[in-house]
Amino acid sequence: MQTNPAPHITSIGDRRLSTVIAQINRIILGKNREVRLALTCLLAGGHLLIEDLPGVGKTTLVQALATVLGLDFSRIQFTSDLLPADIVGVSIYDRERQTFTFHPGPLFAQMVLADEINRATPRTQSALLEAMEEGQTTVDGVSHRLPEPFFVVATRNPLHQAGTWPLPESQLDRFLMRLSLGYPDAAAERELLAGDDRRTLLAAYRPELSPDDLRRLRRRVHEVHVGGPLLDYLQALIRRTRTAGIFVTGLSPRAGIALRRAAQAWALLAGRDFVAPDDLQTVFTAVAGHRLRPLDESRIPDAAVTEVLAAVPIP
Amino acid sequence: MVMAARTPGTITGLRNRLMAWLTRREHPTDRPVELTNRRIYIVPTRAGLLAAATLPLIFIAAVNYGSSLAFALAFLLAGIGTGAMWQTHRNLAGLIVHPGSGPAVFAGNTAAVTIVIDNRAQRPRPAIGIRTVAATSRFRSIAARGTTAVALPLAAPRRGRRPIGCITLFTTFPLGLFHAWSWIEFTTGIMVYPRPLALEIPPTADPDTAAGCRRTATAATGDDEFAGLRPWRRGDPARRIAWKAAARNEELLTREFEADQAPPVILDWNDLPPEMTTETRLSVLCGAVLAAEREQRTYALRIPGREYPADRGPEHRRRCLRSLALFQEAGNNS
Amino acid sequence: MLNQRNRKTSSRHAAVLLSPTAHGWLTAMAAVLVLPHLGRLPLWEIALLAVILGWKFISLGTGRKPMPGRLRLPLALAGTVGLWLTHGMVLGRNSGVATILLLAALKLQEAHTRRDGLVLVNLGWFLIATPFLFTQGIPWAFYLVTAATTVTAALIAVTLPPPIHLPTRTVLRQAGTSVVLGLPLMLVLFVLFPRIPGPLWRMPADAGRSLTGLDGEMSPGSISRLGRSAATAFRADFPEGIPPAPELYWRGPVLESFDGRTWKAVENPAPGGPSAVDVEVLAKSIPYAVALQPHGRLWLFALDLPLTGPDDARRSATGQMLARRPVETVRRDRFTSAIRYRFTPEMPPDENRRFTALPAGRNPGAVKLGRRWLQSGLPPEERIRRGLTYFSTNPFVYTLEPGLMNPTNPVDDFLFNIRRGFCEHYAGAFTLLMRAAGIPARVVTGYQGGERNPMGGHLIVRQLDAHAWTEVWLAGQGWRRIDPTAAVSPTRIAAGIADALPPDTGLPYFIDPANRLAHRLTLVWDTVNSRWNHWVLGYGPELQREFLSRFGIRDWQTTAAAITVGFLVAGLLVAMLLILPGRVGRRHDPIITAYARFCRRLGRHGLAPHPGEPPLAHAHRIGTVRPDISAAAMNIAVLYNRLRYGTNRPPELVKRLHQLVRETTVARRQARNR
Repeated sequence: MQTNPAPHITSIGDRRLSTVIAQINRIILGKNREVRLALTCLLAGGHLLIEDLPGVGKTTLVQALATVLGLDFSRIQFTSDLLPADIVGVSIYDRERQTFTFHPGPLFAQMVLADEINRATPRTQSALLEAMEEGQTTVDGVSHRLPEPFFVVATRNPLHQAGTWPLPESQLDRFLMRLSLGYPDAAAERELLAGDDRRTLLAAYRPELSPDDLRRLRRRVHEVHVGGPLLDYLQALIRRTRTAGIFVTGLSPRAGIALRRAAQAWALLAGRDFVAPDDLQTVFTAVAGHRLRPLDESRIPDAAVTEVLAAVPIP
Repeated sequence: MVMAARTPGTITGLRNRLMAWLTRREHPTDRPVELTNRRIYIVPTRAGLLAAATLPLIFIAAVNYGSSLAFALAFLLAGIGTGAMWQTHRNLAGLIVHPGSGPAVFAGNTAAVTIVIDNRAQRPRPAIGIRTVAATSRFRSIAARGTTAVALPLAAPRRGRRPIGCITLFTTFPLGLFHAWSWIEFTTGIMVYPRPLALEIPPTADPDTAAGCRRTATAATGDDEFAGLRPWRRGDPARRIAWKAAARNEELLTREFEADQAPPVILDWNDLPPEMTTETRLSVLCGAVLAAEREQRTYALRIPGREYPADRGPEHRRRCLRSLALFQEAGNNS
Repeated sequence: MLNQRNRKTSSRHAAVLLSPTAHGWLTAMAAVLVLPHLGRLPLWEIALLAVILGWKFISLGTGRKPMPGRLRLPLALAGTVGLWLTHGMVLGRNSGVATILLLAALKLQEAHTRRDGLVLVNLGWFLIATPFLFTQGIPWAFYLVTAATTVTAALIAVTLPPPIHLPTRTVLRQAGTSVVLGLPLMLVLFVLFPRIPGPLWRMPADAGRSLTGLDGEMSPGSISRLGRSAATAFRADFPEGIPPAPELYWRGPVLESFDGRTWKAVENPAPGGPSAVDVEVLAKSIPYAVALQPHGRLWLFALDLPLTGPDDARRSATGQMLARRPVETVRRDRFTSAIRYRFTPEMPPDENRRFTALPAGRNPGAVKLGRRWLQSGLPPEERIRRGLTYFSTNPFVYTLEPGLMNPTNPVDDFLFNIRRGFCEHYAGAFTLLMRAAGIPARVVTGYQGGERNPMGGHLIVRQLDAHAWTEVWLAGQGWRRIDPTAAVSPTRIAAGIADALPPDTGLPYFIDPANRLAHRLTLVWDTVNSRWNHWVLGYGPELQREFLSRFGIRDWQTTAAAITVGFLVAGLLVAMLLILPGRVGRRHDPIITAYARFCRRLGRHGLAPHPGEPPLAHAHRIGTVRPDISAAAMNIAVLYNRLRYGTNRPPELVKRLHQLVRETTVARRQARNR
């Protein structure tokens, strides 16, 4: 709906953020909006669900994000025999020291790509979701803090469901946003085909932000002003999803908080110190889309969500 | 008054024809509709005609007694009536009606369509009536800048997409002297799955269609590929228990092999007896899909022109039922 | 009967039942409509209505059972019998209203369905009008609005579809709005709607009606009775100035036959009364208008002597103006009168005899006195002077309380014993004396004088201004007015009754000039009433024609056009009244106002924001279709966002936003280029 909000606004946010975006855009071509949304999700301290076909660049995106932001990265391929311990880690008895030592699993990274999350058993899934929610895991009664920042990008293939455990809908709102990258447009695809391998390009990248920078930015998200009229608007949108009668259930209060946080992060990224209705609208589909299921099965879900935006007047 | 009561049939008939003529240019839509002045029609109600009959009586009394205040009353009544016409019209004007939808149902049931009405104005809209062609009216009062959702029953006798069709919004508020209404035809609607029939699908004899079965058959004999873990169920053989995994978890897990999983059910149009009609076939297939989901088995669906490989889960179920519902329906291109 | 029909119809349709709220409103409506008639209804009917309404009211409040059905028939029968006993077969105003009220109450008693409710509401509309057939003062205009609001509220409650419930206050407010909406059209129609001269048919007069005023007879005490009533008899407007008080003789019933005690008008005056020829006008005639309060009689009051009057009135042989129908409502008529005139200078001898006739054997003393003057051979003028001198030289007192007179020979008693009296005593006695003295004479009743209202500029004539005087006939001079009261109390004629009577004689408080403030208030109230009578109650076919011709509307075509224009104007007024506040209502925030103005301006070029389109996205869209205003649109959107949703709103930025909006004009040419 809206691509580039007011490029000429004097940036109040960190100038380096625009460098970050520019860098990623050089690798993920023609996906400025999705890249910004992914970054927004990260700044807002949420986790990201990418619903897409294989081969559209999910992994590359996550790797690029990790590299540019200077985060350590791990990738977990989810399968049906993957056990919670396989991702969280195990305590192994150390004979020499006579104690249990904890061997952290691949989850202990600042950025985790959980590939095809719906292939794992519900137990494993919920181990991941718990870790996402609480920022720590408990193994053998001992809590282990996950690194800070901790950012999970999960992917799932929307098509083939045989032999999968679909994520319970109630758990879906552990993800702040859901995105799908989709195919690149013609120009981007041409450049992709003509240019170097993305991963080679990525190898040359250096972090643009320190972990401290990132922490500072995350704090600043909370300082972005959300005025009364905007809260009115947010409330009206949420109320609409509950009363419109086109969704099975409306948005939860948790979803409302998520919307607010995402809009704040997007505003920061756009260089504003306050949230404008435009910001809320831009993140709305990404944040609310996976939490709403249309009653009419013949409808495209996102179209129903967009209709909510068209139906609620902006105060 | 008594006379008026005798002819409601004629009046209704005339009104319907009039409405049909008036609304001939309103195109069906799937977008929200704003009730603009052009869309709103207004006629006096029986109460309005009664009041119109009272008016000359007061006037005659006023003339006869030369009473100025009685004249004033007659004129005030005329003024109130005219004002009421405007108010009634205004009570409806500017409402925004959103195309409704509702959860899918199986044929033969009554669906519930939710119609949402927005009031963008600063004034409340009391006593707004809404009805589909056949159903009885529902009444709602909409607050100023408020929204109301009305669930309308919609009979779904046959499978396929059931558009809402014509709905009527009407009001007689405030004085009941005028009836203002607007017709909206929505193309949106609900999905009506075929009426499920619980009929065993006879085992297939045709070699072509048994391809899936053959594949699963081979899998069953030789291929011991590990398929995954699932919670232990009563009756699972002990050797299948994944002890190592179970040690790390707090419950027993059973190793599943491809051969273990029940073979996919092949639901094939052509497996059904040739004398079976299209609708019955769809109903039987529909029932079979539901049965397979209930038993948590994977199933494949094949109907002419469409094929869904073996799978299960709500998404698969939805896709299958949908294609059954829309089978050979015009405009089915999904 | 009602019950049966009801059941039949409700079986055919699925009848909608009345809600408890509707029942409540209908009962309230009935109470409001019965109230003004309490003074007129027979006691038994008041009791009956009280029982029905009270029962209904209590059953509504407590949820107890309504009146049982088996009571209905006896009630209806009792009502019918009662009506018949009270009013007989006459369907007059009183009996008509009593019947409708009873009918309405019985209907209310058995009302169940919406249909019953509608019948009641329409009866209610009609019932609002019924008090106006009796009285139409200013307070009744407020009653009209109140009652109309109540009936409208009942209509709202009755027609509200069942599951919808509105609180009492909302119903009342809505009803008020509806009535207010009806007012402009009411005004337009009131002024413009062609008035048909009524009545269409005559309604039988009600028996026992009593309105204050002269009653066409005169006996001792009949006029002094009025002397205590401050009620307005009529008001008069003199466009050329009010004549001096001694000339203000308002001519009413002329009484020609005397039975010794009571003077009466002759039932059938001689046919072929005087035409204009019989009146010779000796000075300039005076035009004026009289707004007469209803008094239930035929006569109008005009200044002595009327020359022309309204179309529906004629001048009788005795010089009174008689309307075709009794004056039942306020009427306003134009007259011209001659102050100096010669009236019927020739009279046939038998007429002459009639005006000197005396009842045999009554008041012998007075007759003897008169005869003495006749026999002394004095000329008629001298005999008249003798009569007047008799009053001025003897100790006669002008008073409202003369005391009782001998019923057989009241004139003798008055002339020779009591010598205290009011105008009727003097006029009666003097006329008798003149007849005995051989001079044709008669009594004229009417009003004398009046009070000038300094605010309205008009003359108020009250009942206490009622007066009686004598007319004597002189050959060649015709009828001449002689006022014996003037001989006793010249002040009465020159300054009015308030000055003529001694203090503390029981003048009504508000009329007594001694009470200054009260007197002033009375005059103010009188002015308002006068205007009301003139412009509202007296607004009939004549005044309408006169009023409309001021605007060049003379025939029905222009009237129709005027009505149409009036409708349109009223409609526009109402629309503005109701649409404007909605528009202005919430937009007091200068930032919102500025942005809304910008959007409205874009809207004229089809560039208004889509529903739910936020400012920046909108500005972007504008930028792609209208590069000429792209920058301005973006600046406005950014500034608006900053001010509306940002942390603070610096005044200079608000000013800047307004400036930007002012400066951004959308050129049409650009749109066409696209």
